[in-house]
Amino acid sequence: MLLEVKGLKKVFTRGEESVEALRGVSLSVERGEFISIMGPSGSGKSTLLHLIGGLDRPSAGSISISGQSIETFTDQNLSVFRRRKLGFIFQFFNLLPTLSALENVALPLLLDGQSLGQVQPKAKELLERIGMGKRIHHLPDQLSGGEMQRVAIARALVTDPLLILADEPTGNLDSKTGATVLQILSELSTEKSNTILMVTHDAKAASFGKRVISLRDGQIEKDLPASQHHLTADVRRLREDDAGGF
Amino acid sequence: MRAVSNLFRFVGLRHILKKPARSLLTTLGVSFGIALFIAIRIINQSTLDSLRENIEAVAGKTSLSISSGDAGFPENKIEVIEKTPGVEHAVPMVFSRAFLVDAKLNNETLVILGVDLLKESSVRTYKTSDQQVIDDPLVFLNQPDSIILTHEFANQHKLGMDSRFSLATTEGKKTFTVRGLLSPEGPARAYGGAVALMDIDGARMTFGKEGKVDRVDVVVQKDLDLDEMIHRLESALGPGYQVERPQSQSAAMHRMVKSYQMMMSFFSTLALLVGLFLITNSVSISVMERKREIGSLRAIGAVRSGILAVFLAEAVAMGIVGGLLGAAMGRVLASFLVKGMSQSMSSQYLTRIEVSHLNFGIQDILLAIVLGGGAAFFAAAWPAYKSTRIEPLEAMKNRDVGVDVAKKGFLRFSGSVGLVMVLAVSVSATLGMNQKHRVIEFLGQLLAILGSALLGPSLVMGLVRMIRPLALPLGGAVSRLAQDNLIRNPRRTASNVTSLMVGLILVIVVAAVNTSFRTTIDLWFGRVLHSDLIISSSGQLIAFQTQPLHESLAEEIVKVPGIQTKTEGAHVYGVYGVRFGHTPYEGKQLAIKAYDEPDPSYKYWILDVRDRDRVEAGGELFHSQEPVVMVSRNFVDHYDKKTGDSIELDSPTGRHAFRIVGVMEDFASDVGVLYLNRRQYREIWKDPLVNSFGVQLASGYTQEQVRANIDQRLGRTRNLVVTSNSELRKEMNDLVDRSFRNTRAIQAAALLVGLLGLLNTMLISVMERMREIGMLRAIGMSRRQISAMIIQETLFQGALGAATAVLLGSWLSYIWITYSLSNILGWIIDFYFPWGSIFSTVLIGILVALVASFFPARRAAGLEIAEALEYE
Repeated sequence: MLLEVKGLKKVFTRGEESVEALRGVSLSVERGEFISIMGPSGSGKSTLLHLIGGLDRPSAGSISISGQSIETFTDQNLSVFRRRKLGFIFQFFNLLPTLSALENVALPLLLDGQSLGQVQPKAKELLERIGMGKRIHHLPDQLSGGEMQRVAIARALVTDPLLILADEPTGNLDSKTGATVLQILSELSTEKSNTILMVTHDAKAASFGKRVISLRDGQIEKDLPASQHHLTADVRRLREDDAGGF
Repeated sequence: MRAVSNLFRFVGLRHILKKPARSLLTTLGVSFGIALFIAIRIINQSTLDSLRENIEAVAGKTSLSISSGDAGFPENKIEVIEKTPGVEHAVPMVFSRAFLVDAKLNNETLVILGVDLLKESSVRTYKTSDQQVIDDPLVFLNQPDSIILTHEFANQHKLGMDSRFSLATTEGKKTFTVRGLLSPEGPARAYGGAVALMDIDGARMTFGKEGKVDRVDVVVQKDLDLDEMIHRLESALGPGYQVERPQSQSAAMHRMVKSYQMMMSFFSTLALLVGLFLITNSVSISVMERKREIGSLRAIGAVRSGILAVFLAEAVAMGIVGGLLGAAMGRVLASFLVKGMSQSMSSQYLTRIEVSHLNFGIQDILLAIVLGGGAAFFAAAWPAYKSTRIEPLEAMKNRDVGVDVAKKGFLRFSGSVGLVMVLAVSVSATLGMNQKHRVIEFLGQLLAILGSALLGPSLVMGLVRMIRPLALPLGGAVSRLAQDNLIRNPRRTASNVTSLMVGLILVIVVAAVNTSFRTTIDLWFGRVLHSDLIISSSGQLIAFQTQPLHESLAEEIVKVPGIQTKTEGAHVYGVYGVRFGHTPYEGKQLAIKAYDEPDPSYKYWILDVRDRDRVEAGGELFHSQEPVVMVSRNFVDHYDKKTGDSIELDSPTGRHAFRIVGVMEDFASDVGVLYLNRRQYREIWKDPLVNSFGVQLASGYTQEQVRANIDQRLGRTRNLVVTSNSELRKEMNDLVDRSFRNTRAIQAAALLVGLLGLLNTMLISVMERMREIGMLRAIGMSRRQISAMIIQETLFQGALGAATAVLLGSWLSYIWITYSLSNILGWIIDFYFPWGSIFSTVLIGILVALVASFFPARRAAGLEIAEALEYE
């Protein structure tokens, strides 16, 4: 078992009002799984990802990654854990604008104290693997959205993480580019046995995962293999939910 | 360690290079502050070095120098010195500063060393192109108009062998012939070459020192303990003589100029402080802009300490570069300021101070680097700390540049801290705690500045909130938008104006010190100066930098038609001589003014007595049989004496006790001024010279008529200059203005840093609101209107900064001038509100804002709508 989440709760306080974003979520993930987490706005899917990624602390419950309970970690240990064991892919790519594609990919290892000379071959290899071999010296503002996200994926992979966490990785891309990015993630899972946890609004994007977890009002509504998940119906319902929000 | 250096190399350094304009603005801000600091330091250090070098060059092989105040001492004491066991050589000297009176050379001075050439070789070596005059002094001595100049001085003034030129002497103008030219060795190196040799007897006659010497330089026998020799000589000579090593004379000169140097250093430190605010602002903005970047770095594993290190390292890197630039700029600035500063010091201390060369070395560069880096480190500490509070979750959010995380909480915190500091300083100052302890005094000054600077932004916020309900009805749509931009984000407005506000505070403090000095002295001068005309030799009368005249001249002046006289018994009132000089007291030099008694019917207007009836005090000063003295207010402060107490003063006739008959106001010395009656002074100091004579006009005569009469009878032959009451008062005001002229450089540097600060923050402000500006353009606002909006916004900020600076600057000036300045400078100055400067400061603030608004306005107006709307 790579990831085990038990009775996870998260309560946000806004003024005098308390909002329960997660109400006792439990799940487990095996090595090499590609899991899509879906749900309407406010369902708690991003909060779940943030808690698993150690970006936020749970109000209750436990998160164990490779047998280590991360909710007990100090801030310092959590930083080191994120750097060495986790890979992040963000909706807005979050590349550093002053670094080249190669340097952005190498950044987690540089933060770990390695020299650019040491990490360069690996970063270069990863960029070549995702089809960015010819643009390694380009700065982010010289790259398209899809290219930036590919660089972000390479950055997430550079430390050989136990778990890759992707937050709406296609949310800022057109459908064609988004599909390419999802294809890369899918291949990473099948060919390289990378474990991926992806949060998405998009049912099509979710279908790239092997397993789809639906959240609603801070609880798991469904946790099924993608093949058994009625994604089309979900897409319809998602639209209704979003419309109801206005 | 590698992780942190990687983080700096790949994140911090890249950011600096990626934003060259902003990095340059910040770096320049630091460098302006440092340039001024270094320039003042170079000048201060070079002044001390020049003073020391002059003393050392003239000292030669001298082990100990013996002197007894400005008036000199009897030459028969040379024998006493020579006979003291352990003295190998005792070489006398008459030391005088003479004014050149030729039309082209007017007001230039020469240091005259009146020496006994037969004895000189045992302490000093001279080399001339024509060795004849030195090898055979008789050639020199046989011609009493002989003088030897340095090559440097002769070349500068186009003089050669046998050239003739005139000097002001106690007997008037006298012509001398150049009989030799000295190579730049030994004493000829002193005073930038403006030094000349005369025979000691000739010098005595020329400068009214008959039967006297100014100093005797002693070479003691080898292996003798100098402390022991000082003791022996002091015992042999009795009280009234200073036996000092040449180094002690340097130290005494240092003590003299210390207060002026401290004031300049203090102001330059303030300018540096303004630069610090620029760094704080710049780093805060950087943290705010890079919130998402920091979140991303945290998300992918950067630790908090690493983030802290990056921001600190960025600031320190800019600080170091700013320091290097500042060192270079400081050297250039010093060459521009040095003349003015040495003139200021000369005027303030009533003695000639010249800087022959500027010393600038590796230690100044290192200091600039350490200062730049260190200052940047402290200035960046808070915003850098705030950067570590950014959570990795920020990486997940869409860009949210509007919230200034680095400033959030800071203004409330800093405002409270500032208020506490300001209150603490006010309480400590009013209780007089700062006067008791030097450390408290220094801390108080620092806290006052820091407190004001911290409190300022909160005051701006308060002002913005106050005007919020009033502002909206004013002006058209563009103006209302500009006001709205300020009002809806008081925090941003406050932080934008911080640098400018601190710069303007400094401008006000400097102006208040200037105004208070000028007004206090002008009012005092108005009270004590009642002579219609003042007669002296040429030179700078107001600073007593004139050739003293013999007292007997009074008998000739009194005969000039148009001078009011009054006879009472045997005494004829009409010409009142004043002798100005210095006398040692408890290791420091006090100023002495010895007055002839004025006509008692004028009720002793020359005395600004503060603690008793002026007529009674004046009566005692001029008619007491026992030695009496009147002391200045700052003397009382420094030495804790009062009327009725006695003080002991050393003179060539020994140590005498003087009873204090009153406390008066006078600004001739930062240590203290003593008034004596000239009858007693002459008897005790054996000094028949006076610096100036005051006269009243007889009825029916005008100033012009009497001035013409004096010129006609005495002017040319005696080289006399007649100054009217109003001219002297103007000279006094000019002297004060000259003393503060260099503070304009400090004001300019502070304003420049303030301008850079506002420019920087306004550029950021425009960048933050790109989307909003795009929207305004989309709904029909023209480029011109956008530009006008930004300009108005900046102008409002300038006005707000100025208003806050006026509030805080006035408070700070009041506290500083009333409670601290006398401790630093030695003079007691009353606070006068600088109304004129307040008005001009507000105008300058708005003007600076106008300049600062130009680029941001252009940038905002130049934005393309589509690009701006897509901006994140």
